[in-house]
Amino acid sequence: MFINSVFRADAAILISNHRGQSGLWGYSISGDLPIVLLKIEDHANMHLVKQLVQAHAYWRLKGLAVDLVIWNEEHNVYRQDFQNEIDALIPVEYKDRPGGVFVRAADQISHEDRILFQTVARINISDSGGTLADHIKRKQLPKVIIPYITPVQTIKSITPIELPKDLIFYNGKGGFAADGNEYVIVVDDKNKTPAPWVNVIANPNFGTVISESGTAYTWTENAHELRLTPWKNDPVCDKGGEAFYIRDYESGQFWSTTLLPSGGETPYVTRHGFGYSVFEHIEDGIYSEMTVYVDLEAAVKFNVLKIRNQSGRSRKLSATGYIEWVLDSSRWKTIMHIHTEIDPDSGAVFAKNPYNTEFNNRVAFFDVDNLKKSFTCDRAEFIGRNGTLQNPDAMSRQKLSGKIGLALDPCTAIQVPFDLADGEEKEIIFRLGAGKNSHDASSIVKQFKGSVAASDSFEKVKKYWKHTVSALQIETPDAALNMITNGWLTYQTLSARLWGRSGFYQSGGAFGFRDQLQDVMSLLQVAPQLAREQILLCASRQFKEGDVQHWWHPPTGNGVRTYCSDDFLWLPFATALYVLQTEDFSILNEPAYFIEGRQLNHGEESYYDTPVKSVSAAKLYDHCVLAIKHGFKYGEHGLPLIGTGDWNDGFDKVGNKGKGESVWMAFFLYDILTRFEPVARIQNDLEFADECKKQAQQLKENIDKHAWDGHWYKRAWFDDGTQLGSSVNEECKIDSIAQSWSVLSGAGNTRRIDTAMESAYKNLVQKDTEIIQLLEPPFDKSDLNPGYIKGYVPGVRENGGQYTHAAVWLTMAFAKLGDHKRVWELLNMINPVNHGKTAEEIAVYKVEPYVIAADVYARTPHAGRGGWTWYTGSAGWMYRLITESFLGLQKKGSKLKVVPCIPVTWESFTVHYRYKNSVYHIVVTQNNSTGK
Amino acid sequence: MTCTADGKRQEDNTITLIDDGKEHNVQIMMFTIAVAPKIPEEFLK
Repeated sequence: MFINSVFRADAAILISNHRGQSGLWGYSISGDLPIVLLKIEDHANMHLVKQLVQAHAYWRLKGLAVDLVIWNEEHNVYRQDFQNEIDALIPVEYKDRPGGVFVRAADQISHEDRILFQTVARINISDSGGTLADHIKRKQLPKVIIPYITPVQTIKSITPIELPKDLIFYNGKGGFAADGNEYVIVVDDKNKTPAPWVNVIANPNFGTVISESGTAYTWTENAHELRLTPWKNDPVCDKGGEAFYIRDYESGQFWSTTLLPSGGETPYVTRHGFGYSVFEHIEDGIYSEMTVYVDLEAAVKFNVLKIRNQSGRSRKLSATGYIEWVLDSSRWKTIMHIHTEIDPDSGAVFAKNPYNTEFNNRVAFFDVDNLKKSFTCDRAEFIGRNGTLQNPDAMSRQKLSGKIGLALDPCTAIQVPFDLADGEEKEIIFRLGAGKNSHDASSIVKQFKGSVAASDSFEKVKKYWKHTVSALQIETPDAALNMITNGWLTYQTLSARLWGRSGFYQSGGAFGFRDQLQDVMSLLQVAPQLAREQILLCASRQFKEGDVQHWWHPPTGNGVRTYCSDDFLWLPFATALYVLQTEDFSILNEPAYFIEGRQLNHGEESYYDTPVKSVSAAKLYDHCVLAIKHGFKYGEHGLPLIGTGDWNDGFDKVGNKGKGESVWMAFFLYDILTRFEPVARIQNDLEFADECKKQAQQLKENIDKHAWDGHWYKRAWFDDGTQLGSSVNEECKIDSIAQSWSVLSGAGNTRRIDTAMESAYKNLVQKDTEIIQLLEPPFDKSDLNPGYIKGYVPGVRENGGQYTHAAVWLTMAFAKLGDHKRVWELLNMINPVNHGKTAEEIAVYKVEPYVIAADVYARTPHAGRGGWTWYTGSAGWMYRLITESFLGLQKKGSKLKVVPCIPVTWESFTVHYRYKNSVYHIVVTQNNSTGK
Repeated sequence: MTCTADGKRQEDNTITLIDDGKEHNVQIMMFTIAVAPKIPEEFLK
């Protein structure tokens, strides 16, 4: 049921509502479905009830779920009779149920709740207003009174923008700038990228995802829970809720500053850089350059427009910025509740959603510096009836109407008119942001007003990223390797994974316990402080029992408790790595509180809740010990229980009955025990150090005794004792991570690991499509039910596609074995730059060649196509593979050991390595015994 | 494998990092024996 403001309650009622969705729950109404409210006072109008109940039955028939709420407002002694008569009209099976009919006596509803009901109802009908027909006739959409522009004939200039030259690895769509720090894309209406090629621009609390065509969405605090504009996740149409237009008053022609939503006739050049994106275009002699970035700390995004007249004549133009508000996770959830107003203090347009349960005080703003501006906050008016952002009605009118307030289809469009003499340039700065409350929002608006503030902010962004990525720079004979290593991997990890926790294909917003812990391990060389902070943050999400939240939403802490078997173990894994690499032993004594919540019930796989902060705390070391001890849960073969999944979440039915075991978990736990033993000795906890040693030894023996399949290691056992990842299986005969971790952990039998890795190479590496499968054959028709992994099409994601995370581990394992040739072969396969060097390659791969994709499809007709980009932990592991395993930079305290595993054909490589305030220029020269 | 850092010969390929705010040039020589990794016999049959 679409929302139409004409059937909403009066503004006076809407503004007086102070209750949220939870206020409905006491009336057995969830508030999740659209509500139609009928107020009936006079028995004589019983026909209205009949009509609405009939309408409700019709909606049901058409699959439209609506809660019909009927208030019996009869006040005389016949009220109960009236109530009975209404009840008799409603089928029992639809009474007081979601999508049903709810009859309530009005005098039993408090004044505040009456306001709430009227506020949330999409249609308010009262018998005092006459019949249904009367309601419809009386309510008419207000007419827009702003006149249309009267266009005049002009001579159009068709000089396009100069296209970039000398791009590296140009594939017909884009290529790297010479220094590798920008990826440059050229698009027009006929030549688009095969999928959205985006940039994820974020600071720790705010960010935006913007595509090569300019489609963007923006969030504050949490990319899922508090979106300012809509995340549409539409890789085909790439639709969005933000747009910027330029208009010529003479011709009436308008175009967007980016290809979407209303591209001009000539090409656009997009440059994605670290912390910013730039869009350039020339339309009818008007050059525009829009730079998009977010401040390094504050919740503010800049769209800086530079517009230059190079048409040879004076022009009358306007710039228009347009934002569709969300202020929650979904626009459809909030569209009725957003208020817009002008902040008298700062002059910005404010948008609020008091209906949001957790963020009801937050205030978003949209602002522009120019005083001479017009605006509207009604999307329906801006785009027009049946209109779109490609051709909004308001862009053909002389100015915007100034409409603002409640019960609108909420948006904010701001238009700035200006004149440009020939050769003249003008800068117009739009700012989108949010504050914790009105005062905070007002302060941010005022702080960042003006071009100086905007320019300072941009300089800080550029300086930060330049400094961060320059901590480690490589010069090798392979340009593709240099491109991906010298910035993009670290940028992807930090901006998209750690800060934004968002990408085009996934906009989670939550911290994954193990996800960001793995990410920060790749930042130990460039930003160790971030690793320290994340480790301590994760310790504070551990339950007193030793398990942890699988993921949680900041800032509320809402999240899930599961029987996942590996996530809590990443805490000691990351801590040991951090301590041994940085020699910052003080972190072990840092205190962190536990959380408390109910334990999972028998047979319950997970639950979502907000745990409470415990009164008890422990130092990080003790959190780690508790986690490790929580992992001492073994099955029939003396190997760790897999629970409702291990690293592979999709194996959630392998051991959900509490008996299934994971061979990978055995290797992983062994790895942790051997890493943590020296940490325990440093802490003088000799008893636990000995326990680690003993448990590790036992695990190694049990692995050797039970997990070998003949040519490779098995992957797991189901609850019923069925093997997985074995030659006896019809599907998933071999799984990559059981082989790679047999080497990485050191727990594999030295007589078997070569065979295991050879089997992995032979069965999982597809040379023709250049991908490395997670397992083979994929699950499809066999009787095995490992869990939701089977829901993926064979060859996609974990189900036998290249899951890049695991592909990187396999390559690291070959490096540990010293297999130079295969490391180089597999590293080249994984490097996304190599999938987008030519037009032919990118036609297959399709997604961004400058960041890692979580997965690459393995089977026809999509073999070699990249999947989910940006939001993947494989970026961090890829960085570690290149720097630690391949180039061999292994840091321990103040010692840097260099043990490369590079191709024998390389004569040398150079590393520029920053250590605190010093810089080391390390030239490694290779002289192989064959004399080349 | 040997390593020469800042003109001082070191016994292995390990650099001792110093936080002195300066730039350091380090040269490392790798001597690689270019032999193929051992492939288990069963795969050569």
